[in-house]
Amino acid sequence: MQSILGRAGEQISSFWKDVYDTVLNPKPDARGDTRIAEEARARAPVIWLLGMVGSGKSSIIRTLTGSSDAEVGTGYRPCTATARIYEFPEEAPVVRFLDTRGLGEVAYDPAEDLALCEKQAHLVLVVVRAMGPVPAPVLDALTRVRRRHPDWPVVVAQTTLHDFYKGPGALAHPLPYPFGDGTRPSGIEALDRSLAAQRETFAKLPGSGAVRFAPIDFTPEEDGLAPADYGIDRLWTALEAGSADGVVSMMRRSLGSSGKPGVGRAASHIWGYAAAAGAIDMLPVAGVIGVPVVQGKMLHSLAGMLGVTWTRATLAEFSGCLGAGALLRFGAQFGVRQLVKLVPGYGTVIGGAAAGAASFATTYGLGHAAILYLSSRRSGARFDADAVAEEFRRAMAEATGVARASRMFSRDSDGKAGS
Amino acid sequence: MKRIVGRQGAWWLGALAAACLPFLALVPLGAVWLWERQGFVYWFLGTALCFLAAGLLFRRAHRAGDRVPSGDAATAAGEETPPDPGWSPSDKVAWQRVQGFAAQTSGRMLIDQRALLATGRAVIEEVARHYHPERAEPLWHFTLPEALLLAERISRRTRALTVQAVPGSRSVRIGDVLRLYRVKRTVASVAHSADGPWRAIRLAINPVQAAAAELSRRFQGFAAEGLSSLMLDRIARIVVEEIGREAINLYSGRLRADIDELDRLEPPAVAEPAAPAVPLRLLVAGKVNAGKSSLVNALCGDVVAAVDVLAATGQPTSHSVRCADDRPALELVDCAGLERETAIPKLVALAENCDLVLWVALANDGARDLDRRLLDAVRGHFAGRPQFRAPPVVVVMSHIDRLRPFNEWAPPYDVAVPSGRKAETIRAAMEAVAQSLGVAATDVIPARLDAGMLYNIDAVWTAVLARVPEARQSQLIRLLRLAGSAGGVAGVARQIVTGGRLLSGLVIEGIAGTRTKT
Repeated sequence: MQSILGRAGEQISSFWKDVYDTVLNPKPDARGDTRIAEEARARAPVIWLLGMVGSGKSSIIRTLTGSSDAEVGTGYRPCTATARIYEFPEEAPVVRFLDTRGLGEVAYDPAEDLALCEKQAHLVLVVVRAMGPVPAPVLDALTRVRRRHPDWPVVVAQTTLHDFYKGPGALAHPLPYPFGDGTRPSGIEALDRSLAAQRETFAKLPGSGAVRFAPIDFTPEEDGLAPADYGIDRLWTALEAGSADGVVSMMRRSLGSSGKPGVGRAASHIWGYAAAAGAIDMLPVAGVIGVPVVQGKMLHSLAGMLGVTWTRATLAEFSGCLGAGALLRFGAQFGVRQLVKLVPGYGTVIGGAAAGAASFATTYGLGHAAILYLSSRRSGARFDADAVAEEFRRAMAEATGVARASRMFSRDSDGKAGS
Repeated sequence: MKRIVGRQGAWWLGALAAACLPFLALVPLGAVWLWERQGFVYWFLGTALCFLAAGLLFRRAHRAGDRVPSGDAATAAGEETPPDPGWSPSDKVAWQRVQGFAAQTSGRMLIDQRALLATGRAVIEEVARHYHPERAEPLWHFTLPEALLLAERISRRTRALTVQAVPGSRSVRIGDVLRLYRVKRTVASVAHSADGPWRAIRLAINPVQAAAAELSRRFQGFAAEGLSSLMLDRIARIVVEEIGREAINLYSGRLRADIDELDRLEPPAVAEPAAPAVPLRLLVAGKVNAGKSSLVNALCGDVVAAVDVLAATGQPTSHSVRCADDRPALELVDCAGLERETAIPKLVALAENCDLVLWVALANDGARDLDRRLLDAVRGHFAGRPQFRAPPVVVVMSHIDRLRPFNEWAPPYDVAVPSGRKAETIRAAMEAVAQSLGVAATDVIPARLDAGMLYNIDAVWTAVLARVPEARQSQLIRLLRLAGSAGGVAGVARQIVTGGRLLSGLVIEGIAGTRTKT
């Protein structure tokens, strides 16, 4: 008994040592960063945005990620000459938006881009302006996609609703959001007819996958149309329903939790790091970096975002307030998992998978607890150690549930979310 | 000739002669005086010395003149005359060839009647070959009415020039001229050839002959009076250019119908006694839901086309706009919404039958690839047919109210000097539209076309009116082409039956886009 506790203690102390080292003495580690980004990327859902130029694709990326123009602008990787993947956040992506150049741009042939995007997408988000018929290039591309993948779900975002609002100087969204599941009338006659005509057009698509509609109007604050993210809940719901594995729901919670300045943005980073930690831990033999290093990098990055610096004292205080019980359980699990992982055959598969999910959940919990701790540190208020511990347990439980439900760390999914 | 002598030339010459006469009288008087004083030998020696000096000086001057760079020499021989503004690209190519001849001519040609005739004939043949390269005898490829119209034109022009520029032309009786002709046996054959219709045609197609005789006579005199060779070169150039100009008019088929005839061919339904000629036809084109029907309604000042959020227009429809104030009567052809590139043949066929294109583009829609492809298809169609003339394009940028900031609508907006955010956005959108559609920024007119909220329709009218002369040229060439296409046995038969109504029939067929069999 003594020896088991002793071994657990060693495990914990060596684990925290790694975390401490990474947080307090961050070394430039390009390989590690790349690895984390890669693993997170492999698990981040890919939403393929398909629409004409100027239909509002960028607004959707900005609004869903809560990111400013600059962040979206820099957070992309070109995959062909013109198609791009916007990753958010860049360091450990939670979500990836696959964006072709707008169809219909002068002198742009989308054939190559479309073929490439089709290989990568999890879900097609069609973006069309609410006014007028569905543009032929969009419909043609979507028809081709659905012929090859009849079961792919499609979400149609119908944008620029304010084109229909008449009356000078008094544009206002109808509130509360009248469209319900995206198909109910708003009472604006022309708008309802146009939306209905578009739905009719999409109903003729080949294939069996569900087509969901989300009338939205995302505008910058300075346009004076309140709310600036009109219909965002409907769009999230449609996207969640489109990706049955719950990854989008998780992503939504991760991206959507905000409140205090900086917290929302910091929270959006946790998911990516957690996914990377889970993925790295699934490997039979740890790769270039281990889970502690990922968690250390996450803690460092969160502190940077919240404008706080870790010290040995604050780090000790934080680890202390997670609660001896929680810490022990967490450490013991970690130790057991490492042992199971080394059992050949069965152990590698099951143990690896379980280890992945556990690492995912603990990293997720650690991140959320850290945000709570760091933000109360920043504001100078006395922090509540119990609240931090509670946040850790809550977030860990939530993540465990999602990881199990989505089977995102089961072997057969082979790095892809869902089955 | 006005260009050479000037309107007041005759009076100046008379005045000069009167002023010089007393001094000229001194020449014989002085000779008599020298003779009587036996000083004639000294005068003769002095004169010889002066001539010697003059000769030497002349040689120096001549050598100095040779050193003038060739560029200056070309300018001295006369600037290139620009082609007529109404000509098609094909006509302009013919004009370039004429210019080639004109550049080679020298003033000596005017004095040598044979050279003048040969050059004139060469110019005409060159032009004829340009228009009818497939014919063995291109020189004779025209019809009787064309030849008669040409004769009429030349007569009118020659008369005008004669009255303006030839001194004493109003007082000289034809009898005197005929007497002169009879004396000069060289031109007697020309005078003879002027009887009988066949001779009239020959005179018409070979106006050079008559002109050559007259010119050569006149310029022999001018040359003797000391006209510089430079002046003669310039005149020669004008002569060749005038011959070329008429040849182009003849062989391009422009003379197939007289402008007055076109007036009479106006469809009676639209005919107004005061209306000028056939109404211009404007093609209103653009993508689905760009606002074509709204523009038609705005220009008509009435609801004539259905406007709806769903694509309302299926087939091209035609609407006429009566002339009001200074605006010409127009016919607006509202083409069906263009959704795909498969619409190109239909669009091109419509554009070929229209004189001006009003392209409607949404201000707040960046997807302009289809617009560009369709417009380029129209441009390519005309570029491949030099005998056609592409109609001018005016872009109406609709829905500027939907540009940022959405909530603001406080016209007027000065886009030339934008003062607010809205005006700046409008300006930026105009530039984007101009660039992506390949038109000049001045050809893009921002407008709001919503019924009851119209804005800047006057600017659209101004832009249309500014292009009316250009559109008229396109229209003229289009109508002439239609007149020309009435060839063949069936066409001639119909011509006999329907006479002057033929052209209007074709025009109406063109409007409907359907060729009804009669």
